Amino acid sequence: MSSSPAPPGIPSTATDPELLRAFEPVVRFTSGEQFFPMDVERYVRSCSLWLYHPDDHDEQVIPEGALTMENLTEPRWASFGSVLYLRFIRPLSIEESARALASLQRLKRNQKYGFRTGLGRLARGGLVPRLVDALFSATLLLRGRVPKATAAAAAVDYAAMQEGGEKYVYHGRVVRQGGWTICQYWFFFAYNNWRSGFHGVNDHESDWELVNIYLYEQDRRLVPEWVAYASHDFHGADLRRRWDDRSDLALEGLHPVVHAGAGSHASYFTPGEYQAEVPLPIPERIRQAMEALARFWSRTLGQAGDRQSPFRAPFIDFARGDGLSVGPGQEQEWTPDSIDEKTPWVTAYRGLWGLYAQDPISGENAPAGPMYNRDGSPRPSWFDPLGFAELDKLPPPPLELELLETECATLVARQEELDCLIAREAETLQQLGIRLESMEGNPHLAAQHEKLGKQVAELAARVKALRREHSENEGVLDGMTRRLERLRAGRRDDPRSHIRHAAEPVPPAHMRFSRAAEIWAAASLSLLLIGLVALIEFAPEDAWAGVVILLIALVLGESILRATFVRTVNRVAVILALVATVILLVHFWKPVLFGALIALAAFLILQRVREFRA
Amino acid sequence: MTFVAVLAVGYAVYSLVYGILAVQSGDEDRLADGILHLVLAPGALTAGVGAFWLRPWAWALFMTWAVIGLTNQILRSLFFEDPDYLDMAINTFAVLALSPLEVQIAFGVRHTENVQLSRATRNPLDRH
Repeated sequence: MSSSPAPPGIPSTATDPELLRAFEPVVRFTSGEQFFPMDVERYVRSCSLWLYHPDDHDEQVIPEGALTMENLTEPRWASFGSVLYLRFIRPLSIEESARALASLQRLKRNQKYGFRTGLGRLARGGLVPRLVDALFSATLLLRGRVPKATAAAAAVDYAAMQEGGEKYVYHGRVVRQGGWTICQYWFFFAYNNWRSGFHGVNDHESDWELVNIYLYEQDRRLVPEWVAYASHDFHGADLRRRWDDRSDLALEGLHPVVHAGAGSHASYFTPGEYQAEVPLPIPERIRQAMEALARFWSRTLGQAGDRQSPFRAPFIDFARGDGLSVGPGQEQEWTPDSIDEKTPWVTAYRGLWGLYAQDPISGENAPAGPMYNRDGSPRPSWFDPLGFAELDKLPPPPLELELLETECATLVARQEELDCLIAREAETLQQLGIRLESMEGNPHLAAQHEKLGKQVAELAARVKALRREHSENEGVLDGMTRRLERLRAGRRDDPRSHIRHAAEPVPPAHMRFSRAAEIWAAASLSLLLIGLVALIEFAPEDAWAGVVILLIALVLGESILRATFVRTVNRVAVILALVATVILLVHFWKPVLFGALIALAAFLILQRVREFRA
Repeated sequence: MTFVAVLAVGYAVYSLVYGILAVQSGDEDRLADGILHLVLAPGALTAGVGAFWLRPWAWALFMTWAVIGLTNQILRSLFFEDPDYLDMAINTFAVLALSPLEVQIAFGVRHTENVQLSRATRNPLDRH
């Protein structure tokens, strides 16, 4: 007798800390990363506590050096609109800023893992995304933002902390919900330096990242089924991968491998460079006009539609996994710290874990803790870890078969009920119908005919709805029966069928632009502006014509470097042809109108002649 | 596409004849224009012949030509009030004939796997 191998997992009698230890992830960082998961206590001890008041002034509540985990969680009165926040780096003078930046350079030189940008992000987008990027950068001047020297000082301070005792910490929590056992690994970083360190979207003090592992119990063992990583721009089911999905999920024994984005610390399943795009907020009317234009472009003009909006700024999240690796059997091991609803700093501190930069779109404001959103409301990933990865609708595998059988039986019963109901109602409908037919031709029965007509119409609609339900149920039942057969035969669903949008690194082949393209990407916008100045200065009469020629030349020149000449020349030609059509129509509207009318007349005559001859 | 090809060949012949006549006339004002037409004629002829055979380079040559021609004529119309409407109309026609997706696929400058060709259904049976 052959016995099937036991599924991966650990005995269900394991304690929560043992459970967390058994599945703790391996996190692979990108070379050049300066911040790693740390314990909150060391961080808090080096912070000060502040309160932002709605009248736009900041008050220091507890100074640096006096802050402890105990006084952090003390209840405090604060008015509506105020924001409680920690401050890791105090405001720096010019001299301190310069010193911090110089120290960071020294630190980078001594780092084991250095960062190389590789292909510039600006070379990965066209001219319009570069313009959008310039606008996005300009908005940072208006929005609240974290100064670059703060990132440098944070890196230096963090490095000093690590020198005092190198530790890599996760804050682990075990939750039991809906038949699942969920291991949550919360990673706390002192700083997110994606913008200042890796040309990304934002910088902020403190950063929280999350990895969830979903287990079910079978034969007195806890078996891993799903893994979900927090990531940019992805939500729900797209965040999770099944344990046996080897196309995406890498495992080291029972430990899922996470590839952390450089500076952003976003988690990815596969190593690579991910293109994150920040769309420019466009007013609704302009968006509608653009959609109408896109429809005209593809439907009326028969052109290929563009999959991406040009109004986006391209950013790269480098999750190369070529730097420090932390986890079981790796260069560095984890120090676990268990948390739950009774952990005071988790529940009692609702403020931000770093600087409140007063950024209205929050990109540069520090996040709140694992349990709360920035506004102090409960964070869904804490109270609803199943919903976080859209697992709330899925039962654990051992319950699936039983649940499906019950559902099938319910649906079969409903179909039988519908069969009887439809037969009965259809018969009544025919009886009423024949009565209605019999009333016709009898003017004295007009009122009864109208009343019965309404009754018949209502009944017909009901019968139609019942038949529709029956027909739809057949389809559902068919699907459920096939799934039931698959489950009974021990066959599983496609592990990727739930994924709508998967985060995929940009393939290297798509990024092999020449050096010229890179230089061009960096210089083109400036060249355009210099060209404009030159035109206005040296040929003011022909400046507009010059601008048009300059723009077309820039766009076509760039398309040659980016190997998109065919697409670009086609677009430019069609736009010019449309402008030319308008000019021609304006100048020759009479001949065009007469020609169209004569052509229509000829067509109609031809049609009539054909009818006569037919 | 045949019509576009014929148009190009016709334009080549016209340019050639115009160029020769302009150069032979000895008129200095027309000399530069005549030389330009003589230079353009072989290009138009090549594009026309290539279009007969649905060559991708012929499509690219045509469109580049049209972009230059249309830019020239539009700017002359908007800023200098001296457009050649016939040239503008020919280029517009060529662009509208060559730019639809199906034509690009026929010329081999686009590949079917990269584009969505499906249209919304017009079958009334599909609407219910």
